[in-house]
Amino acid sequence: MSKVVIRNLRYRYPTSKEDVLKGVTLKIPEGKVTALLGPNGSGKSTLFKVLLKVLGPYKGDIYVNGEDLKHIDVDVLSRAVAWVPQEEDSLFPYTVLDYVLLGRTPHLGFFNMPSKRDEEIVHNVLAQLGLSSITHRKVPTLSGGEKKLVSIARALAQESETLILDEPTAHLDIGNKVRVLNIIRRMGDSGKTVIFSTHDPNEAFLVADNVAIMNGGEIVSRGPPSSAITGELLEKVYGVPVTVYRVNDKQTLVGIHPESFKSL
Amino acid sequence: MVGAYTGRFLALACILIATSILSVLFIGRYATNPFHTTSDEMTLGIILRIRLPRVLTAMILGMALSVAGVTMQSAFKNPLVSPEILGVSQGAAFGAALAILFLPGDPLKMQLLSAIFGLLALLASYTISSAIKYGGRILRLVLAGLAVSATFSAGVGIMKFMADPLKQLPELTFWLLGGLSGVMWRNFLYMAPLATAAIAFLFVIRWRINLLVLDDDVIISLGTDPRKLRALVITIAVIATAAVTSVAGIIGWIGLTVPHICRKLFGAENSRVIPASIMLGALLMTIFDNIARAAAAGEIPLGIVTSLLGAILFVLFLSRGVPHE
Amino acid sequence: MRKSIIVIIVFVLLAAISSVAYYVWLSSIPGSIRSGETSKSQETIEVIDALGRTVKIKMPINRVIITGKGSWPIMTVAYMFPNAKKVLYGLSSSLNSTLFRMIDPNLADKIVPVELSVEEISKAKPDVVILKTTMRSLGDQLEELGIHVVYVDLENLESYVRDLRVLGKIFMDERRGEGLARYYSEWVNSIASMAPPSAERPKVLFLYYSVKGGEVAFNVPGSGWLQTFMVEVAGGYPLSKEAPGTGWNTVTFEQIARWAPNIIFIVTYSNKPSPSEVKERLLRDEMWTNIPAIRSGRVYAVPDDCNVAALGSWDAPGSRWILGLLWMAKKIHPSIFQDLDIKEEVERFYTKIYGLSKADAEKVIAQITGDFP
Repeated sequence: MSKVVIRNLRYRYPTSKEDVLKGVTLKIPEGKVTALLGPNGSGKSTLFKVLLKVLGPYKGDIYVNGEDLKHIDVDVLSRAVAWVPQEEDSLFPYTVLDYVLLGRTPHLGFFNMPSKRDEEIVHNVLAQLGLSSITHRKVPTLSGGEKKLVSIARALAQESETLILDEPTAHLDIGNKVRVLNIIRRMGDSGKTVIFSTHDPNEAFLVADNVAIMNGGEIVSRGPPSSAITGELLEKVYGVPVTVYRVNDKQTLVGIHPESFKSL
Repeated sequence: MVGAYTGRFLALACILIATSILSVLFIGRYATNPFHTTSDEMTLGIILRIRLPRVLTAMILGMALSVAGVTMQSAFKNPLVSPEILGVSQGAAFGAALAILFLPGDPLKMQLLSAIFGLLALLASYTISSAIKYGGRILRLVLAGLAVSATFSAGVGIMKFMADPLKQLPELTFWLLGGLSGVMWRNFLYMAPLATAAIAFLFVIRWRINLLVLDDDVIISLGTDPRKLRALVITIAVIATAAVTSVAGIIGWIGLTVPHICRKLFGAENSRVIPASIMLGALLMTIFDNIARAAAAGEIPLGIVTSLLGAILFVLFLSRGVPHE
Repeated sequence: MRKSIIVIIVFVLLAAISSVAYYVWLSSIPGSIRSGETSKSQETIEVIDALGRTVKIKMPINRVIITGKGSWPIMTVAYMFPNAKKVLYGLSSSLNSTLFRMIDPNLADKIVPVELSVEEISKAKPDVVILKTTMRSLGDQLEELGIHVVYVDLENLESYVRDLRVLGKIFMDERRGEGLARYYSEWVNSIASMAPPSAERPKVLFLYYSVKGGEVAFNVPGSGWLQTFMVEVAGGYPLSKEAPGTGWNTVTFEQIARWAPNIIFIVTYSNKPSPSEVKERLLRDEMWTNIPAIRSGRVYAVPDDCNVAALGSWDAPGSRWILGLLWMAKKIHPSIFQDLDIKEEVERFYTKIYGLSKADAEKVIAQITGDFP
């Protein structure tokens, strides 16, 4: 069952003369973790933004839960899909609690305030992510890793079936990277449809059920990581001799062999 | 969500109520003893006809500018923005100047003209901002607001130049300095419904205004159109500002200082900051106006009192607390 | 639950405030708000003021306050009534000068340093407050408190005539008010009738020379102003009639050169520079040498009997503009008005109208600056 179906999606920015998305075709399976892999500038963020109706109008077809995205209101969409952006400015000293509470907006009427139940949901999410101890800290004072987790918490508070994360591990140290990837896997296991973009093929091998490799605005490979990610493909896409090393039948590592590195 | 701050809210509310009652009953150049209204008839008149409308107007003035300040700061994602940012004060000043020069002696028409031009300034800012092809949406609005402000300011300058220095110029200068000296019930009643409605509306959607602080993309992902929400709250905030500016003239610093103090005392989240600002704004403005009308035998322009004390308060609160990034 | 209580409280508060406001606005609290007696047998006087309102004031009138912007000309006119000394209060400090201290030895007691606020005025419990027509917002507030307000204008001959009669009633001397009104109008008519037809009128420039922040500005009065009127009555052609605008019009030197006035009258409303100093400056200034008035030496500093800002200048809408008119007439047409004895008329003004002794009048005349007589 596909949660999201994208067929021949083309999109260009209003000020540019070229398409950034040049006919993307992709199916996102429901209840699984899908990794979107690709170099900088391949169009990953743009794809997400079109999906979330932040950018538009587009050419081609997008179906979410079987419905044409063109006919879905952002209001309705926000209850179905939640987004964790790559970066967020935090200018006002909101507390973690208040910040994550904003994620309840899709479930609140225009004139309503969050209820006790909304607060409960937020506390649960924070506990799930191990953030209970910083509930009353001010967001601008948090570390990079903590801010990212708070951002994810807000998206989780939306209680949507689909979760999109744009390069969630960027700028994080390995400890935080692992924590975030762990959350992604747990969300997938609990039945959510999770899509995340990354540069690092290792992350795809670690947590993804499905991978789509994007290059130059097109999907150049799709499927489970073991079949979709090959050394030749990565070398073509990234332009450097990358090795896919199968350690055992549970673990695959991707890197550059020191010999190949020396001969560059 | 009020939770830990309930104590502070209650304290603020009590101080506000007590101050306003005392201000009406006791504070003023004429020594009023409210228990002697039968032995001195003037007392009743002063309390009911001079002080009560004036104190109420001062309170609404403070409330409107404060809540407009909070709203604009959220809408422009900048805690240092004041309600005047889109030129509404200068527009209102221009309208008042027009009235002083061409429709003299009619204070109600002056109020009307000044409110209309205040709103025109908003319209002009929005129109010009869509013509600018540089920068993000918010930057465009700020730039447009600068241009509109400067234009109306020049217009006021021309009016000052054309004004009769003996008859019209003093009145115009006094208006520009801001003050509530002639306020009676009819001025209050002409301004209060609109201002109160605007304040009430912003109060009701106080939680939703929080959204504007996030990145526009994130706001969309949460199901709201940021442009529409921003336009809506800015318009309501400007309506409130224009309504009170038409009565009181240009009063600065409150829209900047009160939200700032309230954030320090109540945390940054708007569903606390807005009600706190409403109360603190009313309290401060009542105190400032008491000073303006009762500290000396003659009237001190309220704008001067507000600027002076507002600036001092602002610096005081900036220099407290733990320095943080 | 808590929320709805708050909403209800707010609603009740709003409703209460609105009803109080509405009640107070609608209800007319008549003079009964003031001390006790509303007996119909009480004497009242009735005046129709400059704004056309009919005002009934209860007798006796023991205290009159003149305050607000533009009040000093009103005070100069008020003092033409001997009774004024007894009842005036709340006067502006701009009145403090030798002349007015002579007229009213107790002047210092009546002066206040600032414009009084509403509550201050009510503290003084005046029987009537006289305000300039532009002070409506203050006046309306005073009337809300039951204090009588009379507006005067004093901007031109017509309003002088009307307002003198009104003030006469207020200061309990209707006959004198009538007499003064006639004094002004008769002099104006008399001078006007002797003035020559337009063809023989010299071009007269009335110049207000002001120095603000180091910058010199030449200003001429608007076409509807008293100064323009004075020049016309005195038999001159007022060049300032051609300037647009209602306020003081700032003109460039080029414009003055183009006008080529035959006569220049100078005011500065200040001691630095005084009109006489400016006169010397202009007579010596190279740029001005070709102006007809300079060449013929017909440049005159308007007399000033107080030398305190604009108070004593014989042009401004203070009471002595009528003397300025006589003086101007003699300067413009010395032959036509050769029988007009300025000194005599001035002395008569100070003694008869302001009630000064001959000795005091002489003292005042001695300190008049400008080209007097």
